[in-house]
Amino acid sequence: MAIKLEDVSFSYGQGPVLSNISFELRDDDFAAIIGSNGAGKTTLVRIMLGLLKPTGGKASILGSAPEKIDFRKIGYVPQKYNIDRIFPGTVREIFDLKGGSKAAETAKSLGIENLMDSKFAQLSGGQQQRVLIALSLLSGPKLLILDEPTVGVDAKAQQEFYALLKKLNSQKKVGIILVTHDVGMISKYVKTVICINGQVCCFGPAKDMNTMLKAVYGGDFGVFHHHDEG
Amino acid sequence: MALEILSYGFMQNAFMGGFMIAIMCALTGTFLVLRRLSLLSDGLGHVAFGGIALGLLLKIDPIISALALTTAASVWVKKIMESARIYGDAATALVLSFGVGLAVVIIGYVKGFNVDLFSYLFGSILAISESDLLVIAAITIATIAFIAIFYRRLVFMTFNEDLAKTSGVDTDFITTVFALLVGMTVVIAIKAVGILLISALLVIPVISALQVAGSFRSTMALSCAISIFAVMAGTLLSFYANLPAGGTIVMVLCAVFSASVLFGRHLRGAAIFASKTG
Repeated sequence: MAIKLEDVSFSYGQGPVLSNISFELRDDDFAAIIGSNGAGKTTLVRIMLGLLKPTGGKASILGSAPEKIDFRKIGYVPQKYNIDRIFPGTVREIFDLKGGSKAAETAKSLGIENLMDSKFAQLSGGQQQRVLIALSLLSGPKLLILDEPTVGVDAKAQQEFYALLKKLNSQKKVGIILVTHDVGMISKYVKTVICINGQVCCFGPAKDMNTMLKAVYGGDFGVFHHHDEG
Repeated sequence: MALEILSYGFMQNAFMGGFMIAIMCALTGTFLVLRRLSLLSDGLGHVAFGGIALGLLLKIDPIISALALTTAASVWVKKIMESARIYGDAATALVLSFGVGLAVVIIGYVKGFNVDLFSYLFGSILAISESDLLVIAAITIATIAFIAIFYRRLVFMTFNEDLAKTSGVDTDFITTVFALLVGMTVVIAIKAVGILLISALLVIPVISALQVAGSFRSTMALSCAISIFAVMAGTLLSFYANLPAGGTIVMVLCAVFSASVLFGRHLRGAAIFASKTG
């Protein structure tokens, strides 16, 4: 199992943020975690990654406790706005942080080979996102975890980004878990959707999206697809 | 004239000590500024003020007591940020207040060594002794060794701490050792610019370099170059114009920063052009 959560709870000390979260995701799953602001999505991801210890229950990632996982098996793409806009490093310097010999090959596969000597902070939102994904792929991970990866990325770059994730999942068999608000995109690309609001509201295949969205956001919320141009 | 100045033993010590302090401050300052901890140096400088007062009270070497208190405070700041879950600037304000409060209480209690104590507020690079040089050299070597060994991990943490953690970096260990080095750097740099101007030497070279540099490595190299230039030029100017050295060094730094803001864009453009054409 890529992820197995059993009654996971978490509190920062003032009431529970997460209560009794339980679900399992297969190794080759492509799952989206959705929920309103403050629902505990990022907290849940931080527990999966071992950055936070649950106050109750048990989490495992690729069969190990999060704090014992071989970090090379996990690729993590953090929220982009957590990276300082004055960070002076170039893309090449950022790739050097993980070392290894796959930098040139990975950069080429993501179409960013011509950005290697550019400063990360001066790239567009879409380019920065590609760099972060490339960085997460350098160690050849089995599971990729992304936290709100398309914030500040335009619609075209978003579509390219989801297509790239789908390719990684279907061709390279990389399991993917992403936290997102892009409900329109996930119904098109994702296999499993987990709706949380402090606890699991719904868990199921992406085709049941509309029912789940009503549970999370209430009212007549739903997703309507427009035909792709071209 | 330049050779004449070097014939004085105190000037040789000032240049050697200043050179090492400049490198030490630029290296640690790069990570402080980029991790948004610029004012930590100011806070620790004020803790050193309390430490110096304590040393004078207990009749031990004030630099030793300042080193002890500042290194303890640098670890304390880290713990406060983690356990009380407050931002770095608030934790810095807390230790800053503690340092000044302690010094004021001791001054009020003892009444008599105010002159000694206030000489540390503004620093005196010209008063660096040979035994000071040994301490400065030891801490400079420790700083360079730490940054050389942990460079990649420090840059990773500066880029994104969570990403570094999930890539196997022991961020707790590195943060603790780095905080200790910052504490020691601050105490040693008091010799050059004094407690009140300490943050200038850690921050201004870095923010000046950031206006021009095109990479992380060049930011560090340029910060070192600016810092060394300011310390040397400030010391020379202060000698010939009979001005306080600490203040003069800071004035040179401010002039370099102004120039970097005014001409940084042109210099960056020229560097990009040069890299593309040849």
